[in-house]
This record gives sequence, structure tokens and C-alpha cells, in this order.
Amino acid sequence: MQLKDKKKTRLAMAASSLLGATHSATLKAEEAGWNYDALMSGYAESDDRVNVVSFKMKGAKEDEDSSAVSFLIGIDAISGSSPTGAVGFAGLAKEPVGASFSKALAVDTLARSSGSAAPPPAPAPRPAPRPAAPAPRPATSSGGGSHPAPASNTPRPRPRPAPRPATSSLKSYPLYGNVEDSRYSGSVSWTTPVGRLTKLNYGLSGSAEEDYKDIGINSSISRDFNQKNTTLSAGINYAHDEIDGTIGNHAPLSSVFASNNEIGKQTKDVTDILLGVTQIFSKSVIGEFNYTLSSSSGYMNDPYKVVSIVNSKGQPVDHLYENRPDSRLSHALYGEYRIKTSRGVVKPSYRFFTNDWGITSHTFGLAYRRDLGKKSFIEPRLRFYTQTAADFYHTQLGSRGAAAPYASADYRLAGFDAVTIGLHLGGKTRKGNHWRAGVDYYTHRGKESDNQPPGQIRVNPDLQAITLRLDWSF
Amino acid sequence: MKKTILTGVMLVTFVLAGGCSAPVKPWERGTLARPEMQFGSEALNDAYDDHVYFSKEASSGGRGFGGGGCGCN
Repeated sequence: MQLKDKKKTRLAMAASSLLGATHSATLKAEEAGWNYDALMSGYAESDDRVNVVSFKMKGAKEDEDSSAVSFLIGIDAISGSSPTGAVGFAGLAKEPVGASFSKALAVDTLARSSGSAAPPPAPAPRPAPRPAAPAPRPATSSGGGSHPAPASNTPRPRPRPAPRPATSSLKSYPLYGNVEDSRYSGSVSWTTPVGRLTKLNYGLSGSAEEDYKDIGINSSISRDFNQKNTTLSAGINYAHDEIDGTIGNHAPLSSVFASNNEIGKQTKDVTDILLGVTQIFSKSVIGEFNYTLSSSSGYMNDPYKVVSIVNSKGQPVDHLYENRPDSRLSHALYGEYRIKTSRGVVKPSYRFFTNDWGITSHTFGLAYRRDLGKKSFIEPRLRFYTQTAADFYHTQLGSRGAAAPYASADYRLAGFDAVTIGLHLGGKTRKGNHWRAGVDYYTHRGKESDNQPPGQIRVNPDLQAITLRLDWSF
Repeated sequence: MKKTILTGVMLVTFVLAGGCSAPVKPWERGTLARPEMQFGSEALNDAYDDHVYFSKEASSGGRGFGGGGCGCN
């Protein structure tokens, strides 16, 4: 009798599969209606840098005919400070920048009245700060002294190797202080089946924070082949962004001490294309492989990032707003497997990324979701990341002329390695709700090319961050 | 252990041959139907991770669209 029942169930499953109902549809048909997923998280960086508290929620509804609708909303509360890229120098006075703005930069600068190699075009009158070190007349020609200036065709300054400065003076990092912002984001997506094997998807997305707005539209198509063992997909996404720094957007490579160099609100357009394959290899192995192309054009600068001009002793004499190219073309290849073992699921992944700014990166991921009994699991996670520096990444510049045409000291454009170690726990409640809780520890280490002259504070300091999350679906 | 070796061999075979073995029949997909075997079954979690890395590193995209709309520090 029991055997007969089993046979019947199996037959019914086979029939429904043959009729084209996908597994998720089969499973969810019983509980038609909205399913929700909520994620609360906290992100904290070392040295009083950035802190983010986030709440995100997703709602999804799938009908029996496989048509679906979903939405996502999120709020991020951001606070803390972030390196500006300005060179800090032990013993130099901090000089305020943009005093007319409530949220001002403060940078270490040699007294500009006596020591500046290249005085800004129209400096605003300000009380001269007392120099902590005797102000030497810096060599204006490049190549002299222990700290050669990069010529425009030299990729990066190569100061002589120096020991990393002690981290005792953390507060003297040239940070952009008191960032406080809230980011609101949302998206909606619709999926419609076309015939038995094809699905069409349309979506809208947007986000807003005080200094950044984004609106996007996307569409994708996927089709099953090979008795639904292979799914091919293709998608396109277009986004338009508006950047309006809270300290203003400033003319690229103009001095932070100059006035009348504001350039107003700026925009950026991004087009992404995705091509993907999902392949079933066996009853217990499935893989996903994507290629994404991303093309951006417009204002790509970060309004809060600067590059310092230093004298032959490595002391900053001026700071210029960064300048990045106004276009970028990126390629990413991504692969991930899900392998069911007797005790859980292994999830290895790899991404190769490259763009025309000179950045190439490799990302290796590995997670093992191990079953703990029938209802819960433990998931150790590992991630290794390494990237090369952008062609125009300079920790500092030796003279103003060397800055042309592009320069940035943003730590995200530096060469660095990052490692994430995480441990997640999860399970299913009696009511059938899923939960996941986890902690992840992220470390970022700059590469040796960031060596700076003695006395300087690192432009690209190492970073540690911790993430806590709680995910609940109901 | 045997299973692991078998899985490894199958992966290598696929990569080398660029193809796949006999299609898995619909009624053989009990394991594959489990949420943890489906890409995108934890979209919110993945999106959170991607956004954190997007704002700290110069790479984006791969798992999905590059994401955006962030002046994050």
C-alpha cells in the first residue's frame, strides 16, 4: 500500500514536471501568496571609520503559471569617516578646507604662505597656521631628492622603501570627518512566462542618499534547453546617477584651498549586459556561469577624494581634488557551483574582473553549508580577493604638472588583498520560516607599492571590518 | 569520499569536454529542488554581500548586474 502511494506521488511529480511546472512553482503552489524576507545587519570598520546599520526587505509572489512579482526595499544609516587620499604628515598642523561648508575636510599641510611650491590660484584669506617643522623651500623640479616626482608617463611614485608608520596616531589619519548619511533603495521586478520554456523579466530600481541619486531600468530573458538541464539567460540594465557632494563637486585637480572651483551637480550613465548559463551536471551538482559587461560614462570622481602634492621631504604642500577618466569599461566572468554532499552543500565560486583603468582582480569564494540535524545548518565561509592598482593611482604627486591627466589616491583604486572569514548559522522553524544569522570578518591589506617616505601617514591604511546579520524569511 | 571523488571527476570532465553527461530527468531532481541548491534562493543575503564589496573594492558584477547607486565611502 505504502509502495503504491509512493509510486503515485512520483508519477504525479513527473507529470507536473513534464507539464512544465518548475520545482519552485510546484513547491510554492501550496502556499500561494506573498513570501517575505527581512535582513538586519550591522557593519563596523576599525579605527572609527565607516559604520553602517541596514534593514532590507524583499517580498515575492509567484503564481501557478510561473509569473512572479517581487520588490526590495532597503535603508542604510551610514556614519563615521573615511580616508580622503590626502597625505598626512606627523607634526604638521591640520588646516581646514572649505571653511564655508559645515562638513569640512581637514588636511595636514605645510604652511602654505611660506612653503608652497605651487600656490593655489586664488587662495581664500585665512590665518596662517604655525608650521610644526621649519618650512623648507621645496624643489620644484621633479626627480630631485629622495622622493622623485612621477613624470606623466611614469605610472606611480616610487619612494624609497620605508617602514610603515606606527599606528599610534590613528586620529591623525587625514579622514573626512563625520559622514552621516542615509541611503534609501528600492526595486520592483516582474516575471512573465512566454510559452513553456521562456521567461521574461522587467525591473526598475532606484536609490537616494544626500549626495547620490540613482535610477535604473532592466530587462532579461531566460530560456530552458536540454530537457531543462541548461538555462541560458541574457539581460540588460541601464542606470542614471546624479552626484552632488555635500561639500560640493569641485573642478578636477583644483586645489582644495582654491575658491570658485565648484562645478555643481554631475551625472553618470551606466549600461550593464549579462550573459549567463545555468547547467545541471548531475542529480547533485549544478553550476552557474555569467559574463557581465559594464560601461560607464560621465562623472566618475569621488567628490571627497584628493591627491596630495608633496615636497622633497614628503611633506604635503597642497591637495588637489582627484580626477578619474570619464569612461570605464569592465568585464567580469563568474562561476559558482553547488555540490550536494551527504552532509551538506559545498559552494565554490570564482570571479575574474578586469577594466580599462588597469584594475584586474580575482575573487575566490568557498562556503560549506553543513547540515546539523534535519532543520538547521552551520556555514563557514571564506573569500579571498586581490586587485591591482588603477593606472592613475598615486599615493601622492611630486609637482602639479605631474597630475595630468588623471590621478586618484582612493584606497579602493590601490593594489590590495582582502580576506573574509565568516561563520553563519541557520535553520527552519516549526512554522516553516527560514532564518540565518552570521558574522563575517573582513581584512584589507595594501600592497607594498604603497610604501611612503618616513614621517608620512599611510594614504591607504589597512582596514578591518566586521559584519553581523540576521535574515528571516516568512 | 567516493562521492566527492566522483563529483571532482565529473567537474573536470565537464570543464575539459565543455559538455555534460546524460540529462538529469525531472523526477531525479529532488536534491536540486532544495532551496540551498538553487542560485538566487537567498537573494537578499547575496545582494547585501555584493553591496558591501562593491563599496570597498574596485570590482563589481559577476553574480548579477554591477549594482550601483552608491557614493559610499
